[in-house]
Amino acid sequence: MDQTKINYYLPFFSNTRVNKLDMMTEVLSVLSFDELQLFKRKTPVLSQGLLKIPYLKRKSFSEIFTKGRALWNETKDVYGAIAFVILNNAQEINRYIQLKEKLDILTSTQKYEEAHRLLDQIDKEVSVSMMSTYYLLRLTRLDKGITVSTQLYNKICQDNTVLGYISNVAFKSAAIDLPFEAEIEGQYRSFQGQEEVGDFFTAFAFPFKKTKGEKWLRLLLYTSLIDLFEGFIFQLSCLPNEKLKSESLKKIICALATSIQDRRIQRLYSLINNGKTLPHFYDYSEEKTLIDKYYSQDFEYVLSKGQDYLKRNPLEAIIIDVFYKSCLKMDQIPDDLFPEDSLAGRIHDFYVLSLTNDDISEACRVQLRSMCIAWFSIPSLRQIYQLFYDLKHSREDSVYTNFWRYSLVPEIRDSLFYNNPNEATLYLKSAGYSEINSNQVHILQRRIDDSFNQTYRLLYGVNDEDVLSLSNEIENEEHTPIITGRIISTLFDHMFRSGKYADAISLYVKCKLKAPFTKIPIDRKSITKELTDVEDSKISNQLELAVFYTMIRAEVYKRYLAYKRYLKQAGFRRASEIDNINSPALIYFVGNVADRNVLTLHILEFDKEEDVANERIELCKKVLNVTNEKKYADEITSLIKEHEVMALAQQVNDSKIHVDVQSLINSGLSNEKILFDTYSEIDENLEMYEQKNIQGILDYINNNYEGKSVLFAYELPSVKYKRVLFRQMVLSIRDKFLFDPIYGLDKYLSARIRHGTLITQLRNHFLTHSLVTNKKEGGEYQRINPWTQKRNASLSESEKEAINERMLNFTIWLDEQLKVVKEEKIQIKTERAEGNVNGLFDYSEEYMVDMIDDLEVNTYDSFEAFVHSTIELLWKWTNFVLERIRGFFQQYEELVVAEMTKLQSEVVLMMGDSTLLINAFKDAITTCRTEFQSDISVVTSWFKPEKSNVRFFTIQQAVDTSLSVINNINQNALSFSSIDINDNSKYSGDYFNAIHDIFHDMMNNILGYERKRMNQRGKGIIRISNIDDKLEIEVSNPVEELDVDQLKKVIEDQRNIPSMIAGGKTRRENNSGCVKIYSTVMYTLGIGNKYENLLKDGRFVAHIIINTKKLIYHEDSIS
Amino acid sequence: MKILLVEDDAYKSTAIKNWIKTEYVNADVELQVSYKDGCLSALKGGFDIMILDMSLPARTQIIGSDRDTIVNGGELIIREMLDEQVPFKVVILTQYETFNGETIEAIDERLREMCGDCFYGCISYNSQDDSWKNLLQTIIDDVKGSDC
Repeated sequence: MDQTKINYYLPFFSNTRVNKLDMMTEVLSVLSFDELQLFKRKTPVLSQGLLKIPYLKRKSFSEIFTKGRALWNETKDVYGAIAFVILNNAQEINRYIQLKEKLDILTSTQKYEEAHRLLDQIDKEVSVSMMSTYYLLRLTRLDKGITVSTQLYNKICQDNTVLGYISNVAFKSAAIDLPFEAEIEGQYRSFQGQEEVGDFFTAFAFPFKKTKGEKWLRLLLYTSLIDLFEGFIFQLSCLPNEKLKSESLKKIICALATSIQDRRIQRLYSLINNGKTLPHFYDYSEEKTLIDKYYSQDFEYVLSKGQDYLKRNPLEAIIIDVFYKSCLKMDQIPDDLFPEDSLAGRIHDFYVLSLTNDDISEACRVQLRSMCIAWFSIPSLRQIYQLFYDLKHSREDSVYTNFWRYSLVPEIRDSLFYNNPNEATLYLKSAGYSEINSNQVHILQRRIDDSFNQTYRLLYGVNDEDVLSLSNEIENEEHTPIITGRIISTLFDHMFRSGKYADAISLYVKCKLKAPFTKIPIDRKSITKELTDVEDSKISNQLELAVFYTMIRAEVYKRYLAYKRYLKQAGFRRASEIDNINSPALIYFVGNVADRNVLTLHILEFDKEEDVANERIELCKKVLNVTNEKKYADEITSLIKEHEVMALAQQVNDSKIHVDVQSLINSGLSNEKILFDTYSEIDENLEMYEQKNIQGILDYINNNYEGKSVLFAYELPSVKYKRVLFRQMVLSIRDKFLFDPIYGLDKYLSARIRHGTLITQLRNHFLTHSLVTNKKEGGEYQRINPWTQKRNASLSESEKEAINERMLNFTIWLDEQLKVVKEEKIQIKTERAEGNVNGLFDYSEEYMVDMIDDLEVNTYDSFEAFVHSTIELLWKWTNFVLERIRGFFQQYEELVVAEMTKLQSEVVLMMGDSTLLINAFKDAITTCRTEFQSDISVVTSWFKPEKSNVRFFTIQQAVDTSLSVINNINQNALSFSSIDINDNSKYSGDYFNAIHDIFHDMMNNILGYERKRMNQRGKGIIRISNIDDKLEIEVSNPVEELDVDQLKKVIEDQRNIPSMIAGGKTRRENNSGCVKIYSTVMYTLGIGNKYENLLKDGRFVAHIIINTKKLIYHEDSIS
Repeated sequence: MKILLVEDDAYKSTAIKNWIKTEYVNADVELQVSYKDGCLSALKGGFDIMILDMSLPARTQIIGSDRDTIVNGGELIIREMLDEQVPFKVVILTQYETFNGETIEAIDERLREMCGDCFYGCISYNSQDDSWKNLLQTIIDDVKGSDC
């Protein structure tokens, strides 16, 4: 200890010319922790306030990093200096810890209002800090949504530009549903080589990463009291255990543990003192009992007491862990302890899911990690994050090597802090764990090394002589599930490496069948690599092999081959032939191995996809009979529903070309009838000149005006008046067939093809593969193409610009082509319809005239007979037109494919030598081309005569079908927060398309709005009920305030719909689909119905009432 | 000479068939456009060489129905034949550079290891570059020669 140095600085306190801040910075920089303690004791009472570094109690966010001093570059004892400041502010820090613990609980249980108050209290009583500011940002995002949190973020950025980067990371990570890790990895890497600043950013922007050094701690004096404390604790959590055990740090941690009531410091204190605890701090007895009971396999106790504990401490990670594992062991998952969408509720749900369901566990873990990243400032979430991180990334050590680092409760797995088993045992005994459990951990502890370099190993590789005894222990269920899993993992590994594949597989399968939730970590990748198809075929028990591959989620083909080999061995052609499924392995085989993926590959047995589904249903029935497990009943229901929806979606596809002929006739063809009566009565020999022929004559005269006229030689062509009338009658019916606003072809072309369907179908895959971009709100295309932003794109700015330009040109070109297809080609052309000169639905008289004249040859006894023949002719012509349109789409496909080939070769050249990028781009073009060809075949199939196979349907099926059709071409973009249907009536299949059209258009409108206002996604609601033959449909979605005026105008405009329909001006409705919905509801589905749109409680509501009497399906009626 | 071509892309299959007919006048090319039909033909055997695309629809697509693609369909046909012990000679002809993150070179190596001499390699197809023709010609000539 350097007494001289201490004495040198003391007089400066009374020197008024000395800047006290500078002096304190120097003192903190040059003295060790012990010296600082002595310095404090010698400091006059009146000057002791300076030791607290008062400016750290920040009044506003703008002061952080803009006011203050950093410690010197060569600070003597940076840990000691920061700890000294913390100790001098112990009272404030303890108050902060107290408030923060409450704050975390309030936030996680959705008590946002109180949480806001508490945050404010922390700011006022302790200090404004980065911690509280960013906490507020995240809380606001949870509580009030993205708009308000964005406004807050903007304010934060304005207040403190220096911290803009960290603020931005905080803002981004506040979106708890978005996986954020990949982006963080990139940003974290960008700080390589800037140790000091990099570590500072790590501490406050990426605290789930580790710092590289300790020098950055000197910057903490720029922050705030709270950030200084949190930063220091964070740094301790990054240190290797040996460093923590060094004398200097041990002393500092002991001093802190004595004065600061922080559980993390208490834990460190306990670890470095072999389990010793300080008597006056946190009492862990409740937690310890629960943990102890778990390891003693008293799961019932954990279950009964854990629930109450978690209600009080919703985020206590260790208890969450042992509680839900106990629940699984007892097969009793409690109902939600917290509101479903609260942070605690979500954490608990994801935790259970990540433990239980192998298929979804990775997705759940990603969501869990995202939430933990966002709320990393809550200590328990740090621990959960670290646990899952280590599960994924641990290579050389045990998965629990870092367990002690974040654990808030003394736990058995903490013992991995020690290298020496004796120390570990001592720790556990001191921490209050019973002898037997200490011994268990001792066994684990002894076998930490991992020679196979696998993730989860806790055990040494075993020797041959261990195998039998360990196998017996497993057989006798002598271990807890976790340890059992690890032992089997090791045995498996040992057998596998000895080439005893069948034995290893058998052990694994038997254990998993006995205790399905046991986690048995194995190196799936290397196992499936080593087990070649040839090795597989040598294994005698193909049943176990198939089960094994299914359990470890090996690639489908490996499962399939084992499945097929087993069936062959057992003398079955298909799994449904297995009569007696009496063993667990057979039940698993039928229930899980022979799933749809496997059956799909069994092409020799199942010809069609439908056969696959039927086989799967049979298999589910078999397993259901034996196990009575609900999931099989659910799968059967889902398969049947899927089949129904597929059939109905096919119906939608087959009904694009439609004319409601019967309604058209029923609506009255009075003018045509008058014409027909005249036609019937008129003299057959009466002739007239057709208008066009008279014009021809006039032309002729004019051309020959120069006296060379040979007028006498020109024979005036004339036609029989009866024929003219006949043509007029046919053309009049033709026009109604095509353009009747309620029943005509154009209405259906518009509703079923042009409106929100055609372009999406032909464009969606280009968008998925980023070959095109969308327009921004202002109407301009997004110029920067994602291909130039890829991580592996090592492109210069000029290369990026060239690629962006080329891709933009392709987007413009493609959209122009699509516009032509929609607005010019898929249009009806007649000699009377103006503007549609390129329409492919060409019903012009000049082409049809011969067919019309042929029709006239017949005689018609009645008007009805004539109408029937005319309609027949119109369908015949329509079929001819459709054939041409199908041909057009083949040409369109060739045109687009050629342009894609050109695009590929040009862009690849621009990409220079970025091989990875080029390969990815080429693959995207290839995939997109295949998908586009498939889309073309889908679109081509629309242009076929209508087919109807639906006898009856329910409203639920119509809704499901509409949703499925929309999601099929929109990458499952649409979902509803609630679909509540209270109607099981069967409706006649004749009305299916009409009902589907209504839902399709309403859903399409919601999807369009959600694309514009992303944060309103998934909030739509559908409510349907049927009371007294009145089907009431209400489809609504929330709208933002800024859109309300525009929507009011849309609703106002819709008052004119009836007159628009009457006037045939249905194209003036700006593509909302409302005219079509109106027309379908009010005309196609019958009189007395009601359709209105309104704004109610911040939602746009489409409200429909349909009289269902005529819609009901009757078994005896002919549909 | 009997050749089985399993290819779902009509442009590509036309180009390959036309080229084979030009180069090998007597060649009899059977075209299948799905994993299922390709597999059925392959298992019947009797082909001098099979030219397989990698990514294939599971079944022949019904117009308008959803496409159910098997990303490594070509490889699965090979594995099915190995499992059923049907003799074959095969080449993969694909437009893709990677499959599920595995490069075409790695797949080539893996399939050579799996199939030995029956596997003649993976060839990259490019409609604007004729080098696939030279590579395929060498293989077909090799197969023809070995039969003589």
